[in-house]
Amino acid sequence: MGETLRYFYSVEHHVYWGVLVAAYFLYTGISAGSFFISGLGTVFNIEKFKPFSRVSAVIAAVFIMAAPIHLLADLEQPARFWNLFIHPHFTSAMSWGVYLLLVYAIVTLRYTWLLMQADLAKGTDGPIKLWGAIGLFLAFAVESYTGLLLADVPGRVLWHTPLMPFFFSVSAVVSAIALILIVSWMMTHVQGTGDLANLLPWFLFADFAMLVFMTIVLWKGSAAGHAAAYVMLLGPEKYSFLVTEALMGLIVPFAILVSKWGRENSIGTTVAAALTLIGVVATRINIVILGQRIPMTGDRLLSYHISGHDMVVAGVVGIVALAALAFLLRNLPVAGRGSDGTARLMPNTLGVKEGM
Amino acid sequence: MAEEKKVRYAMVIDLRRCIGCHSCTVACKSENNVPLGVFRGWVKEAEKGTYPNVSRERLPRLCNHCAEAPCVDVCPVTATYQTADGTVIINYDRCIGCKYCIAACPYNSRFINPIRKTADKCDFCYHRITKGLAPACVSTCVGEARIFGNVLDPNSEVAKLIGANPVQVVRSNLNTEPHVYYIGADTGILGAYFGRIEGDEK
Repeated sequence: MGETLRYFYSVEHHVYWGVLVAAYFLYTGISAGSFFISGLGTVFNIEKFKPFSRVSAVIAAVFIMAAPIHLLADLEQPARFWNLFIHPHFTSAMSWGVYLLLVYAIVTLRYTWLLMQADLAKGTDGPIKLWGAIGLFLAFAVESYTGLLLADVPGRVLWHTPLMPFFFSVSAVVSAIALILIVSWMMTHVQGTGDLANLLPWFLFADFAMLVFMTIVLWKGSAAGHAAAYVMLLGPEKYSFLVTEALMGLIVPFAILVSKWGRENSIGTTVAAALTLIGVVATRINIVILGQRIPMTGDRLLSYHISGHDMVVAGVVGIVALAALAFLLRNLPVAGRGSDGTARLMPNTLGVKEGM
Repeated sequence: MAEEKKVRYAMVIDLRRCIGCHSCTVACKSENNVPLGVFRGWVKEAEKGTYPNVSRERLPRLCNHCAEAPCVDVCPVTATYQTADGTVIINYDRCIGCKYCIAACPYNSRFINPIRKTADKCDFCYHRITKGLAPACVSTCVGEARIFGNVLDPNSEVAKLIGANPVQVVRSNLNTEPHVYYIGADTGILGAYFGRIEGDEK
């Protein structure tokens, strides 16, 4: 054991990025991941994912509209947000991100609009493919930038890894698939999400693998990295990291989805999806908040308490976003009834004949 | 050819002279009207070792005015910038309070000013140094442990001290090129100490 230090005086430093920033990352992730799922059907023309294209597009549009509200509410001077546009700074990932978000939101809305209007059974999917391809590129850029935003901070051991943009991207697809599965089940109450449910374990595995890699590197790296890994594995955050994020959010859903029961039972799939979503929420909170709690100059974990303002904003935005999503999914042509009369998502609007 | 830089402000803190009176903290608070609960400059103190082999270490802290300042790089509205003399300062009228600079600063030197509602930090008392005065913490230091000046001037006291003594900076591994130098700082207190977190100490 090395020398021991006992701090008896220092000032208290604060955690300034709280749940609103975590929620922002969660929402952009769900949007970008949903766009990816939508693009599997429309851009890559994979038949089995076409029924999810419209639902996914609506989710992508709603969540990208809601996401920036968190950032605006988190600004100390929200009325000055125009400065982001009139004083750009291109060494700042956040400055790039503002423009990326704006363009991505416009493209997502346009893509969703085209998707809702088109009668793709007649084969007029050219503009959708184009907007979808642009949107896919932007979705990856948006998710990568949020990862880079954190990776570009050399002093924070939990953030400063080149894996972060990819970790965010995979986590985004995981959260999106989970939400789409839940929404699809709520809309149709029937089996029919199997193809998407089969995709989720692969992304859960990739997510888990990256988590393991990052934890090993932290543990064996710098003193700060070892301390961060200790806090997550054996310290006060073991329940949030090991239990909620890793076990409940990755391992259990993976086990459910690779089991015969989980694959063939829509309830099992939905439960796995719900657990996955909880895990992703924990992931975002752990990365953003725990990343700042690891001391940089002191000797103890910085404390964080959610403020009333943040709680109200996160709650209201969440409720409004989900209400808007429910309204749009109810009133837009994303689901209908099949020839047997059961509710179903609408693959036929994407050019797949009934009964195929 | 670009004009050669003539002024680069830096501070040397000679810990052999520091008595731990915290008057620098108080002078800074008073000079810059720093609100309660936040600090532009402070002194952290720790005991090192196990009885009877113990020593008391202290480290006055402030913004390092890094040559490669992460806070300058990440500011999305260029509210944080570096002047020609190397001082990192904030345009308070432009700052949107996104807190990215606070997250990016590896030294915990930044905070949100709860009254002004912008990022805030030590600016070497820019309103004083541009008038030829020393920063408040320097002029108040009873042991004359703090020395401020132009590091590019070989006749300045800071240049002489840096040249003639082993000096340390906080978290030197980060390639930020801090411009607050310490003489006689213990390595244990220069960065973070993780023993307490990992349960070495109850």
